[in-house]
Amino acid sequence: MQFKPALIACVATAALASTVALSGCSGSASSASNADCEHTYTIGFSHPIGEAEVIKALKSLAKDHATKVGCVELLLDSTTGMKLESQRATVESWVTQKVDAIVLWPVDSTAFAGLQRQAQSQGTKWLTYLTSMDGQNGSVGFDNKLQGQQIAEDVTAWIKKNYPNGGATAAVTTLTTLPPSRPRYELPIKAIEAAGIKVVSEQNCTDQACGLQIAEDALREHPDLRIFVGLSDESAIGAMKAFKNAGVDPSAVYIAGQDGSPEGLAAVKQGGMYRASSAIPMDALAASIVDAAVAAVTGQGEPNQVTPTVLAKADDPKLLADLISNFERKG
Amino acid sequence: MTILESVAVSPSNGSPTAKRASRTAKRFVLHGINWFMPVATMGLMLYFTVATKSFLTPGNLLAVLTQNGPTFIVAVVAAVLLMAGFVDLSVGSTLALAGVCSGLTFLSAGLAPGLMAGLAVGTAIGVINGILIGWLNLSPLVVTLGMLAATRGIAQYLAPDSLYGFPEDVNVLGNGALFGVSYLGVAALLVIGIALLTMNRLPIGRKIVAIGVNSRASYLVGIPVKRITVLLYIVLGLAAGLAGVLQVARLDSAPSGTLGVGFEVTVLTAVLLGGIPFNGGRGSILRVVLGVWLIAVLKNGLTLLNLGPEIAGIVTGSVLVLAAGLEAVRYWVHRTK
Repeated sequence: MQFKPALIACVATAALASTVALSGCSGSASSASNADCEHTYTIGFSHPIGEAEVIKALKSLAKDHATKVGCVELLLDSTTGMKLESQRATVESWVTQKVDAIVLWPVDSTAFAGLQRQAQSQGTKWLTYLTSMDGQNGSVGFDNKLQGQQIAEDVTAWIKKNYPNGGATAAVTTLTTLPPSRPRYELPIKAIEAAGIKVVSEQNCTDQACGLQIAEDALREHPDLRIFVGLSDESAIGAMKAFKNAGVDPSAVYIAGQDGSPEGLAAVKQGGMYRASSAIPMDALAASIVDAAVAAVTGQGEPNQVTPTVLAKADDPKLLADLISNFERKG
Repeated sequence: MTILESVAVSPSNGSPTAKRASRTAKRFVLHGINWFMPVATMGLMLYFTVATKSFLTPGNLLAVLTQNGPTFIVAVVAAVLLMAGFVDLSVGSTLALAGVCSGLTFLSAGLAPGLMAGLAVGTAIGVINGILIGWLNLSPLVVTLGMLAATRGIAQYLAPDSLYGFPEDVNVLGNGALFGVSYLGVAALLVIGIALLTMNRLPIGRKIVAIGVNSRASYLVGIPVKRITVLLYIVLGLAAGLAGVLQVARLDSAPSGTLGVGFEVTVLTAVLLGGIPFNGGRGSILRVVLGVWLIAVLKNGLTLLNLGPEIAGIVTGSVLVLAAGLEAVRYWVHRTK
């Protein structure tokens, strides 16, 4: 029967055992490729939202890039759900190991200040991802402001074409607990209101379930809701489901997300109400993590790198294909 | 003498009149607290009805039931488990793994096998939890916390990326309706009905509560404590599996990283809000249902009102703390009655 392999695959112990076995294999493979190097640079990369698809892809692509560059061993954190204790424990172990460089997006910068001093005093370079800390040796990331601007410009153009005299309302999801992400929702909100459309829902949400629930509730309270801008592609995908279930004409709806997740990019490619995603070119961002860290360690090259986001739309199939291929190469 | 002062007076120290007054006052306080949650829920619903256009419409109320269907399904079974004095913190990850496995099977084999796969995975996790905790007497907190991490890891290993593009009949399962009530809502109502029947009408209901009161004494009077504990974990696993399948069908997508994250906290909050103490021994399914409904209505009303996330957090937290505080007073008054 066809479904047997899937069921078998779900047997917990087998999967656990293979995970352990695979990690063991990957570890030895990595050491082997670096065996001929005079000096292997060890770089630790910590991102506290390891469960997100885009971050999994990012880590995988960074690992690939490290292999391509050669003489670099990339250590990855397994922290999920923004757990400070878990992230701190991992970074602390890297500091104890005296790795050459650490690149991290700290859950809380102040909680890492002591570790940063300890690391830098022993010669470990300290780089940040998407944020900044005093005395850092470099930084990598993408521009949240550019993401917000790209969506703001796109939604403004769409409103001018479809609702020049109003007649619709909008919803935007936010993440007030993460201040650096503010431009991603503040700029679209400003642009939508400047175009004469009222934003009737601003709720914190980054996953599909809450995107679906918020759009369902907002559609009932405001039947003229036609614009939904998600802080992430996940929340926008959830919202798209609500619009479909409500039977709203897709041509009258504008949905956009951010980050360029595989499902978000697939929805953009399909056309219809999911109009755009301000996507992060994952391969470029992943490369910058390794390159900036190596530059900080060797003193050659640029230790501060910003990867520009791109607006993925159905009318640019080549860009879409490139972005999607980042996820296909993974694993 | 104020009501609280009279409540604080020990019956053994007063005259017969004072004792009567004290008992009356305690009954009054108990009634007040017992009615707090229904009254608070009604009050909130009334407020949201006035303040929004769509709150008190059948469509919205049914949507609240659907949106919170997974919580209803798992919370009432978790409540029964907690009445027996056991806890399960792995329900969120169980939901995720069952959802991912059903998603994989939906893609390869279609609706019915996918549904069966999700239920089987939930049940299997329940069996493991049940044997480790009920049979081998391992700590429920440690075992289920371990299972929380392990099952999430397996889910992410099996499906690193979101699964989507399921057959159309999966979408129908997640978003279809029977007489206007979504299948998810129907499933939730059925589970609530079965839980009510079990706890209020069947002998096993009394045995479950007896285990929560004193498991050693229950064993000595012939109640099969181990067997019932294992059974309860299996049923909870099955419920989480069902919730996972239905949630994936509703989303038409199975994102292994975010599916069911924090779900165990929502479930535990609802169960404790429903007045079931952490060490079990008493409780009411209806109060748990009301607890889930209170949280659901609050979330829905705050979204409809579009209060900012900060205000929504303050309001939700205050209501929960108030409810928990009154529950503590209820327990104290009840104990000194």
